[in-house]
Formats: sequence, C-alpha cells, structure tokens
Amino acid sequence: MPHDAEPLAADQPDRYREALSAFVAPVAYHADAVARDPEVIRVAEAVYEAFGDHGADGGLTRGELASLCSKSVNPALFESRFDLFVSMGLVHRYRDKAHQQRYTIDPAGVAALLVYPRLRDANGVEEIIMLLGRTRQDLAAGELSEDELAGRLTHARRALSIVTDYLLRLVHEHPWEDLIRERSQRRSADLLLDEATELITAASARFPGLADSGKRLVGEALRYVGAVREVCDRLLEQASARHDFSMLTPEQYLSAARRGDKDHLAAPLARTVFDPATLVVTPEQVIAAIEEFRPAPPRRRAPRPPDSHTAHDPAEAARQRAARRRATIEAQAELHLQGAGEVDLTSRIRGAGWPGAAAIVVETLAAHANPDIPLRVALSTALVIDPVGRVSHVTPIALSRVPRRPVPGEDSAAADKPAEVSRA
Amino acid sequence: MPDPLSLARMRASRTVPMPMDQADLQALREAADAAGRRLIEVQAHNGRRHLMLGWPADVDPASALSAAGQEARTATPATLLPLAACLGCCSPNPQAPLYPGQLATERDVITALDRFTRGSVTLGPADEGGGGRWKRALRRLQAAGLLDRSGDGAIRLGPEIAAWGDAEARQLRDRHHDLPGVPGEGQ
Repeated sequence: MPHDAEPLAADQPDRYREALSAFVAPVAYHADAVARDPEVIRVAEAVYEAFGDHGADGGLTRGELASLCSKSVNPALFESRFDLFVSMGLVHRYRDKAHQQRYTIDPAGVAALLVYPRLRDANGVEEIIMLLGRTRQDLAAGELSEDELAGRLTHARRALSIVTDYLLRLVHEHPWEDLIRERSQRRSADLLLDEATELITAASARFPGLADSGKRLVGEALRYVGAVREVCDRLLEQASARHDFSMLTPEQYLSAARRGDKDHLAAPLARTVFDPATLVVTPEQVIAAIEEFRPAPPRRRAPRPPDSHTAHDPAEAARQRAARRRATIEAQAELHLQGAGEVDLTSRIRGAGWPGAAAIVVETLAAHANPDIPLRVALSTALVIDPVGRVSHVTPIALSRVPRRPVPGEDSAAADKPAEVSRA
Repeated sequence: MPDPLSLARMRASRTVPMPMDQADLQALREAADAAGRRLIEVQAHNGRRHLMLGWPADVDPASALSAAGQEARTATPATLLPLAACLGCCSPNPQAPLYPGQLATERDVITALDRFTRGSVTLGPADEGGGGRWKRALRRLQAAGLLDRSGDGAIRLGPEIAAWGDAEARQLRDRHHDLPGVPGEGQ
C-alpha cells in the first residue's frame, strides 16, 4: 500500500511502529505497509475527530474536513493522506452518487483507531483479556457450542503462549531499559488470570470435556503471570541498584505520595545514608540575635523639674489664704459693729433665720478665736426661746472690740488703737 | 592507614564512640585530615567519650559546605533565640565550659524566652502561638545536633556545641549575663 505523497522519515526504529507493522502484517501487500512518519496517524485521528464532532449531519466536504484538520495537523500532510484514505475506504462518499461531494468515515476505521493506542503498551494482552471476557459472556448467554468454545480457548492459549515467551525473552536477553515499557503488564496479568479462571470454571461446568483445554489455558495464564513477575522483579532490582526513579510514571509517584503511609514511602530509602541536618550557628550569631530582639527596658520618667516660671511658694500662698480669710471675717464683724465698740448680735441672729443665724454665730466665734483679729465675743448664759420665730432657740451674743495685739516691728501706740482705726 | 568508611559512618551518625584501639583512632585522624576535616573529642553527659567530625579552626563551615555543593543552612532569629535560651538554662555558670552543661526543662527554656521577649518579638506568622513556635525551633535545634531532648521535656546541649572553638566560646561567656534564662539577665 505505498503512497506517492507519503513524507517518509528515515528515523530510527520505533517500538510503536514495530507494533503497528506486526499488527498489519497479516494483511499487508509488502513490507513497507506502515508509514514511517509517526505523524500520519495523527492525520487519521484528526479526520476521526472532525467526523465525530461535526460530521453527524450529512458528512463533511473535503474542504470542511481540511479546515477542521488544519487545527491539529499540517495541511500538506492532510492533502497527501486524504486520497489514500479515500482509496482504502477509511473515508468514503456519504452517498454513492457521482456528484456527491460529502464524505463520512468508515466504522471499521474507527475501530482500528481505537485499537492502535492499545498497541503502544499492551502488546496484545488486552485483546486476549477481551477475548476471554467476550467468550465468558457468550457462554453464559448460551451462544457457544462446545467446538466453538474449544476453538476460542485454544486461540487464547496460543496467543498467551506467544506473549509470555516474548516477555521471558525480554527479561533474559534484553537490557533492562527495554523492560520499562512492560511495567504496566502487572495490572493486565492480574486481570488476565481472573478472566481465565472465571471462564474455565464456567466452561468446565457447562462442557466437562473441555476441562483439559481449560487447565492448559490456566497453566498458560499462570506462566504469563510468572513472566510478568520476572519483569517486575528485574525492574525493581535495577531501579533499586541504580536509584533510578524512572520506573514509575510521575503520576504514580504522585499517587503514592498522596495515598501511601509513611512506612511504605520510607521503605525505598531504608538503606540510603543521609547526612544529618546541618545548621551553621556561631556564638556571634547568638549574641547578635539577643541584641537585636531584646525589647528595650521600660522607660522611667524623670521627676518633673520645679516650675521656675511661676515661682509658686505654697507657704506664702497659705499665708495669703489665711490673710484673706481674716480680712473677710473682720469685714463681716465690722458690718455688725457699724463703727461702734460693742454690739449685741442676738436680734440679728434671730432675724437671720437658718442657715444665716448659724453663719453669723460661726463667723463671730471664728473672729473671737483668731488672736490676730481684735474682737471678742461674750456669750450669755441665758437662753431665748421663741417658738414662732425664725430661730426658736438662741443664746444672746455680744461682739466687742479689743485693742490690737502688737506686731513685731509695729509702733505700739498704733497697735493700741481700735482695729477699725488701725485698718484705716 | 586512613579509614574513610569509619569517617563516613561518623559523618552520618554525627558522633561515634571513641575507638579503644589507638591504631583505629589514628586511622580516623588520617582519614579526617585527608578529607580536610578534624576530629573533635566530645565528652557526653554520661561521661563517655565520643568523636565528632568538625572543621579546622581556619575554615568557615558555611563556605566549605557551599564550595562542596552542599546547602549550608544558616540559622534564623527564630532558631537563634531559643538556642540562646538553651545555653542560658543549661549552662548557668559562665566560668564552666558550655558543653555538656546541665539538665534543663523545655518549660524552663520557653519561660525564659517569654520573659526575655516579653511577648514583643514577632518572628513568625501572626497566627502562630509563641509556645508552638519555640517548640518547633527546639525540634530544629535537636535535628541539627545543637540540642538533645528527651520525651519527658528534658533538654541538654547537643554535641555540636562542643564544636565551637575557644575564642568563640569566650565571646559567649563575655555576654553570658545577657542570655535568656540566666538569673538577672540583661542587667
């Protein structure tokens, strides 16, 4: 199936291309049946995507298809592949009429595009598993005769034998790097053994004569599982020895980090020697940290200096307050005396009522008690009772002047004068 | 004959018991010399003698590690202040050698730190409590060999303190009264 416009690339052998070549070999016309450029399959996938997304309503014209495919593949490459797709039937006319310009994709080609990706990793084991599963379902549905079932069991066993031999050859003869792509076989092995066991159990129950075929199939499945274990053991051995972390995919490491417990995660490094943690610290740094981060001691406020501006003298202020008090009392007494030498305050007290009466008595007695005030009070022993008056009980009080007491440095003659005269 | 394997074992386990055989000790010394390191004799709290790998006096450890392509982690204030408090609590006598010092408790150290900082030091995220922050720093100091902690909250100075030279230790002794945890600190 050569194609003139095929852009062949003389690249080094590719495992995927090898798998594709082997896949089409049974029906190939010659050895170059599979294109060398790995990009060509992207064109087929782009065509498939275009029809899948936009071709449901009457197919697509070549121009529409080219436009849609140009988003993901080189237009020149598309043009070179389109005629091939048409000639081989992957793409055909929507209706079989001469003037028909719209195309659609063949379902068989879609099936092929679904199969190809599995060839990358599975080496056909997936197909064997599907064969076993489909056979089990057909058996349960009663759609298989004993001969048909025997044929399928034999088919599966032969395929399994080939895949197993391939794996064992890889383990024993190939460098360990070639085994990395087979690392996903482990999951397939478990699934395959389960499928084979279930199928043989059901087959033996339905057709006891197939027990031997079943045993041979299960035996082959066990041999395949053993081969896969050898692959994994060799991978683990090499990966451990080389500390090569490429055996698992990044996503597998991420899943292990998220789901694995601490002991399992630590196991791979159990025999690894690490330097202990190092922290470079010097006493100088310790001292610097102390100096930097020690809070400042609490500040004590200095005592306030004396107010030199006001020159306040509390003793002098007290003296002035006493002098003002004395002058007030003397002025009140002088109001009572009205210039006379003596006055009877009884009637004034009775007329003042409360609290005026009390104020007159208190101030008068204060004047008497102050030796600097030249006044005396004489209290009678009588008691005047006036039930209806403003003051009901009152002791007669007389206020009189006395000579002023001499003050040091003051003229004695002046001091003997009455207080009013001396104030004047 | 140099013994690089024993030297590597010492490097990985930080300290090794003092060899009984003088030939073994000599082999270790030669291996340390060949590696540009020196052996430090450490007398542990239990009186037993150990050996630890140190740096020659004229070599700056941070520069040497950096030159060897290793990460030289330096301490932040959040780690240095707890170390200062451990030094103050475990080595209250300025005349005595810093290492091995005496036993203190984690509570002593954290109390000393709280008193020293008076809660005014912000060294980490605002949502971190002071006690938790100090405890994390103590774990870092333990991992770095600057501290030994037991499960019951007892704290001792770690063997890495013994790696400080005399001149460096003298600096600390001169400022001993400023260490958190020392009676009358900062006076």
